[in-house]
Amino acid sequence: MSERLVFGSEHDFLHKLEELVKSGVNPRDIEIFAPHPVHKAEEILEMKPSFVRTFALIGGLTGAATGYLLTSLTALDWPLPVGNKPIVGIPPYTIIAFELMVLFGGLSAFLGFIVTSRMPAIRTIISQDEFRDTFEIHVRKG
Amino acid sequence: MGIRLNPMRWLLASVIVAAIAFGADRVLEPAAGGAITIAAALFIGLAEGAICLMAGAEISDGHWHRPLLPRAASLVYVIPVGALLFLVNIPQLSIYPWAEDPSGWLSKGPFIARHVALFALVFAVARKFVGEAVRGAQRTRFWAVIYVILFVAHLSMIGIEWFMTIERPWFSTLFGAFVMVSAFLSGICALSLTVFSWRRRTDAPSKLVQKSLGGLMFGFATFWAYFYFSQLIVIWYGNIPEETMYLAKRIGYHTPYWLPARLIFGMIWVTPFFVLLRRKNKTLAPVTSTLAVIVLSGVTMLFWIMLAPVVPVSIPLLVLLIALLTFLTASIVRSYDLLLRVPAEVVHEPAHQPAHSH
Amino acid sequence: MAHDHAVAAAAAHPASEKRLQIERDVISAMQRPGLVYWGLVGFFATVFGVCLLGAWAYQIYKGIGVGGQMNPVGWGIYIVNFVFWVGIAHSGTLISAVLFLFRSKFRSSFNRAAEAMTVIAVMCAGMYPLIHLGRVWYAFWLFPYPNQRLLWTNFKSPLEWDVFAISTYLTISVVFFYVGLIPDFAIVKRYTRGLRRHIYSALSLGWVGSKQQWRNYNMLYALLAGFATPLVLSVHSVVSWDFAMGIVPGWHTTIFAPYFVAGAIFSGCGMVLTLCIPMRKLQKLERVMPIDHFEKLAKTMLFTSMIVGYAYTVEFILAYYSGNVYEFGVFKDRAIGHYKFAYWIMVFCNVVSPLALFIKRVRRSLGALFVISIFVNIGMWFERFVIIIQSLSHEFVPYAWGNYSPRWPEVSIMIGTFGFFFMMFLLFAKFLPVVAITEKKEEVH
Repeated sequence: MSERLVFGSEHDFLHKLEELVKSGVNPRDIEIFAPHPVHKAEEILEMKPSFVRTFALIGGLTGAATGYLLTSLTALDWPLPVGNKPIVGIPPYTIIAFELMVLFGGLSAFLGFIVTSRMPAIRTIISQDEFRDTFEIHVRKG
Repeated sequence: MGIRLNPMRWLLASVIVAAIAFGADRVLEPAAGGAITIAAALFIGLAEGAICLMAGAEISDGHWHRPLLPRAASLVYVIPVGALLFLVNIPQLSIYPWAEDPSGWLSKGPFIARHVALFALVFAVARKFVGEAVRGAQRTRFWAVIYVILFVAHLSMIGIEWFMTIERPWFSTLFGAFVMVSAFLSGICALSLTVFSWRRRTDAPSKLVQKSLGGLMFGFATFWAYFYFSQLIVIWYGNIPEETMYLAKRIGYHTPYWLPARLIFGMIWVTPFFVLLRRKNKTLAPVTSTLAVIVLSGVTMLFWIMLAPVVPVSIPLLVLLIALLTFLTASIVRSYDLLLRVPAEVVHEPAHQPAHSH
Repeated sequence: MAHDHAVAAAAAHPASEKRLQIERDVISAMQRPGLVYWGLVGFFATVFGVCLLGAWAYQIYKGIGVGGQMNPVGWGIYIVNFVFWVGIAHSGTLISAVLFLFRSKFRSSFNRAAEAMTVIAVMCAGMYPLIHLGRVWYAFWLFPYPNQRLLWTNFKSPLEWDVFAISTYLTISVVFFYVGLIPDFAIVKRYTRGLRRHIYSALSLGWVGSKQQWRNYNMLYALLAGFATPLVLSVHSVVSWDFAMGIVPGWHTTIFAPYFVAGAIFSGCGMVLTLCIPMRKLQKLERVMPIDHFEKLAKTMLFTSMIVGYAYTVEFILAYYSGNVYEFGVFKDRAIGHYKFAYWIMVFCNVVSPLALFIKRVRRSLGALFVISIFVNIGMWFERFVIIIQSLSHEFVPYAWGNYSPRWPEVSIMIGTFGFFFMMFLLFAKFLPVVAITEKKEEVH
């Protein structure tokens, strides 16, 4: 059993949401749908920050470490002395590490999004549920 | 911190500081060297940088900066102090190699003339801009654009002529812009410190100011590091002796400057970056104020290390000057209403209402 | 039943009407394309096939020598075009990512088209190192893979940094583009039937706009924007360091990194204007792309033009200051030597013509903006030409000076690349929503 409320305007939607939470409904029983991001709603529902950024942090650190280690260790293993540069040159290897940090960080963030949002939502694709233009509040009862 | 200054007292204070600088410099000569140059460049940079930040915010139709405007605007009165210090530093122009061996452009007379002219022009335009901005006048954006152009030109000239020519003919095309970005970052830090004067405010505009300054400090410290790295990598990679000797003298392990050089990088970028990564830290005034002091110390060391391997710089004089100028700047900020002749709390109700309310 | 009444009542709200109007405006631009459209796509596809693929095949068959590059100008217009297209790509990321971080309002009119432009331009740019390699089948040697042929990449080479930078940039740009499209695909799905509907549905990954999805999406978007911003700075800096790391006078200068980044944003703004002004007219998007936003973009273009002008000035003045005969010789030769036409076109188009943007009426006139944007595109192409080719033609030893002119395969490939670019952009304009519908909806109150 669930109560479904539909709104055309963000203002009415937020108003009702605040009302519901104040009247004692557990935020975890409320599901909302919105046609565009509504940051206020996340505040009202006391949602914790998304886990995606942990993915990004780990990815970024891995990328930077990979950049430095890949370049430095292979250079030490097989030194190719070129242009009077030191075998392990920090300035050029910093560039490689930086690029890999961004690459791994970005891809990890995307992976994190896919995983935490449980997408692709095969059931939704097949059932052809729609991403509507309205704001909706679904309250799970019982 | 600081005392209240009306225009007469400000003039008097400036002259006193300049006189102390001149006196100390003559007493310590020749060991004094570039101390006045460094102190002057630091404070001119932070004052002009702070005003440039306000100009940038005006041009891009920001609203977050309005509570900061009056105090930031008062910093325009640091520019003439810098000019006075430049004038009392004229005897020390002998530290430059071109003083003995002048060319058409780089000789004492033209050098002094053009910098005095630049100071006058920048002060006039800055004063006009801040006057318009504080009143919320229509022509604010026009003067903001003119000011930004002059800021870039002035700080580039200071960077190139005050600091780069000490090692003539060594040059780096990014040097002027590097000093300018250092100045802009100093301006952001200076504005973070002015928050002390209204630290007890917890209303929404102050929170927005605090958050914006924290974010800007993070972003521009990284931008500064980008400029630092760009200079480093080109010189490191090309490995041309005429170019590398400048860096080698300052960051090589065999020099006495190897530690300050690394400290500079640590203070201006590493510390603010890792501390401000946490979103919460950007909004805490004690954190950003402490970081501001660290960054400003780093910028001072940066200017110092540009001159120190070539000319003597008296550290006691430098510290004295920085202390005096800090007190004077704090007093100027505290007296913004007297100096700018605006009501004391023109903070939340500027005359200019934004056209679209958001 | 009651629920359907509620939905109808909600849809009748004026805010909802505005949002649905945005949807209709943008999706109507995706209607069944007519003969003129397919004709244009066909034309550009032919240009791409014949001029680019044909000439490239000829070059692979005959060898890299069919190009005009030889001593002393070993890098010709392949490299000029490479830098040109990477530069154009950067502006897209700037508009998308950097303006997002600054919460700029004028971003929403352009960001979808700009992101598309970025992805397509990076693809165009990525072709050029391969073309320039000559033996393109060895291109995989550029990547550090374990092998039995005693090959390893030289990580200290700027050309290798390029490999990492451009690969990263292409990947992140595609991801960023796609992520922005996910909610919009879900919207487009509502307006389509049959196979198209299934495709858009799959592409939207089952997006419904629930709280979990929005929360994670917002964080992802902010993170990608946060990653893309230093990427804009770093990738074009790495490209500039392809030149600055060498000791060639006119190349070996520290200002290159910020100078190139500013130039990239500048040329990209020009290309965004060149693409969006006709697109707005042809697809009747006046309501979703107001002139105010074009004016803001014009101001950005003016700002970056002044940075580029600053760089020109400082380089020239310091070359004289240095007393270095070779350095100043190169700059004198730029102004009065063999390539002076290219130099003065560059100065006029990049520094002089954008000055008109100080005048408000010019900034708000789409016709004038279009003309200036074309000048900017031309000027920035010639800037890369002057930097790369003129500097190489006039290095240290006078005996080694020599001039270069492009030969027909190079010119053909260049024309073919434009064909590819416009073909892809036309395909984007018809099959993907050209304006970020969801972001536009956020502005409705």
